[in-house]
Amino acid sequence: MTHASDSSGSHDAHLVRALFPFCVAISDGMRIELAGGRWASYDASVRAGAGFHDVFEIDRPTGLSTAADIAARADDVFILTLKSRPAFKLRGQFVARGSSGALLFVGGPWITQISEIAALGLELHDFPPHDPRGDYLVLLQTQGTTLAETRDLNARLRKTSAALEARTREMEREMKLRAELEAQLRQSQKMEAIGRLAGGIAHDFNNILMAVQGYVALSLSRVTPTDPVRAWIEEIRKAADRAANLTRQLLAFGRQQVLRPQSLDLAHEMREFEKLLRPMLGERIRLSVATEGDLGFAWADASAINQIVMNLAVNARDAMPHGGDLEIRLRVRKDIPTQTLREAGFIELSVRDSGTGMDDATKARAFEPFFTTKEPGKGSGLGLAQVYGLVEQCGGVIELDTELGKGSTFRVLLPRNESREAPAAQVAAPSAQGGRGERLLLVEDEPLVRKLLEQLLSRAGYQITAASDPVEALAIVQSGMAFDVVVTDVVMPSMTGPELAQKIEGACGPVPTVFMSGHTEDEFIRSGALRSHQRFMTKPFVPSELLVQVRELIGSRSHAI
Amino acid sequence: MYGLINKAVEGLVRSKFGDAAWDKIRTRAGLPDEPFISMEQYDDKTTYDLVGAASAELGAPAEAILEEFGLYWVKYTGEAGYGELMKSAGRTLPEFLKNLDQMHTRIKLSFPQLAPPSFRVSDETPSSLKLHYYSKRPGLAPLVVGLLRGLADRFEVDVTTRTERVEGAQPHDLFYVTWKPRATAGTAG
Repeated sequence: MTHASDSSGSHDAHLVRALFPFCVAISDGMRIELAGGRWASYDASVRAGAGFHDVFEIDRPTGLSTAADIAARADDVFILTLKSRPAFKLRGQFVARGSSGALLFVGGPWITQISEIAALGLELHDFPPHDPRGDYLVLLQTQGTTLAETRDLNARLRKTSAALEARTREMEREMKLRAELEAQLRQSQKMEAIGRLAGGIAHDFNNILMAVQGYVALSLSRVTPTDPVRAWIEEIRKAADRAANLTRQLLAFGRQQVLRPQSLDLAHEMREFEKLLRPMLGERIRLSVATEGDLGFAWADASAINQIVMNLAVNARDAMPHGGDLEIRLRVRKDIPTQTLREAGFIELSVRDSGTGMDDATKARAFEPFFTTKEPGKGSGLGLAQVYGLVEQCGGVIELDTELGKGSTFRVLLPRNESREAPAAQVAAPSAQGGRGERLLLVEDEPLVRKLLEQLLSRAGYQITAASDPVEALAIVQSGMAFDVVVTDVVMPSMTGPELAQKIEGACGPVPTVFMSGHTEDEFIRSGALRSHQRFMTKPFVPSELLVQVRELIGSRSHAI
Repeated sequence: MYGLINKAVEGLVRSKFGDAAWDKIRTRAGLPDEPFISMEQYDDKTTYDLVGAASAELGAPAEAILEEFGLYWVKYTGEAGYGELMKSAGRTLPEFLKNLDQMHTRIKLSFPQLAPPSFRVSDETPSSLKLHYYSKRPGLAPLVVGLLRGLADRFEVDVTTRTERVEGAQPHDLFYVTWKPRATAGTAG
């Protein structure tokens, strides 16, 4: 048992009351003999003379009533409740004051939460410096504050993490988009470069083919139908025609084919074209052509559209060697983002097949010229390349949706004509006729072609003056010679055919002119911006076509220089 | 100084001048964009740099910034986690000021590196006292003026202060503090 000196002595009493402001000294009869210094201001019922059990209840240990009972448990922790204020509890211990049976309770307010200090009407200095509870309360406060700060930091971390994750996702989307755009740009640059190369080759080939086809025509006009050489010349003509067809496809891919865009009723075109397609596709392929709603008119070149559909249909047919479905659909699309937003939108011409489809590698190269998955000799690899070039030249876009084993869908998006202008009426072509001594200025820098045309036009009855370049031609005109018609190449070293025509017109007024080219780099010709007294012919052409154009120009105009 | 002080500076700037102002001040003080940790010890220079940057950005003298900070500090500690301690430190202005030194001593338990100023009260009357402020850090007397204004709000009294520099063996700042009950808004009648 713990013993303390009797605290009723005045000096000791003062000391005890100061050191333990909430202490209580009790007699062996359980009456309060001395109260700690803080009781007077905190609860005056705790005072000398008051019965201990009148003001306190012993919470723990339980079942103790006499001083002897308490003294027997003096080593235990006691918890007392102040009856006048049940929320206020004291925690401490009893010590014996000598051997009389009197006791001293030494302890302080039992507080586990810092907030209880104010709630119980206490202050920090109610805990004497030697009482660790004061420090404990400060630590509790700091602990609570640190916990709140940790929660705050966690919340900020979560917010930052969420923002970072969102930014990462955004960056991934941007990087993916960038990669796609870069791939598109690379593909576009590659196609552009290949197109320029193909166009250049086609130009030179066309001049050669022009001479071959021209001399074949001249030769055929000289040999009799029974001459055995005639069959050989016919074979040369067929080979030249095939070569000419190839160069046309190359030019189309290089977007250098001459187009004459007009307001076009695509639904009507497809209905007409369907008749041509069916026999070409064969019986094992089920063809369906459908139009959704009112399409209005497209702004496109009719022959280009036919070439596009024909090539796509051939491609679809070859992808379905055992037969299948080929579906051509037309509908209006207004959801296409373009740099120059078209109010009228686009007309989508989709060609879907149920064929073999393509893997990603094949899809990536599908539009490259000379790329083919067909067996050698079965395809030139130019069909889809031609489609690509023609669509681009028409101001359209082509999309390819394909998966190996699941067929392919090509979607050609063609500009819709905003004015809803009716389609142009077809003009019947005049028949070829010879000349009647009209004066014709021929300008051609390629000797092979110049010599051929000179012979051809002379034989047809025209008076020919030939010049090997535009400067020579201009000198001839300026010397005072008059001409009924000018036939000129387009791409020449010193100036272009259209520039030459402009200079001749500046000097002498308008003159009927036929431009010829295998490589139409001049935008005004490609876009069809020819004037009424001008014509354009794509090399190679057969001699009779040139004679028709010349005759028609002379017949419709009476201009002479 | 502990991060708690710098957090309070940040809180003052953000609440009175906005987040953009804080970003400018923090940048000018050369500090990274990261939260202060209350229990972490920072170099005193960080706090001085923040006060200097705030003074430059806000176009106010450092003394005014410090006084404003003192006013805010009472509110901040009362609301940001130390409210109970503040409440347990006294029910009246003079009681609080007398316990202030003891409170700082106790708080060193949680902030062992804390080098708090020391406060001593003398010549107390029912409406005045002298507050002796001892600090190893120079130039912070305006902060105490702000603290007294903040405590006046807390205890709802009107306070007037006069400051005097005391040299000698223990040089310190002496604040003559007088107070009277705050006049509440009168009612007609």
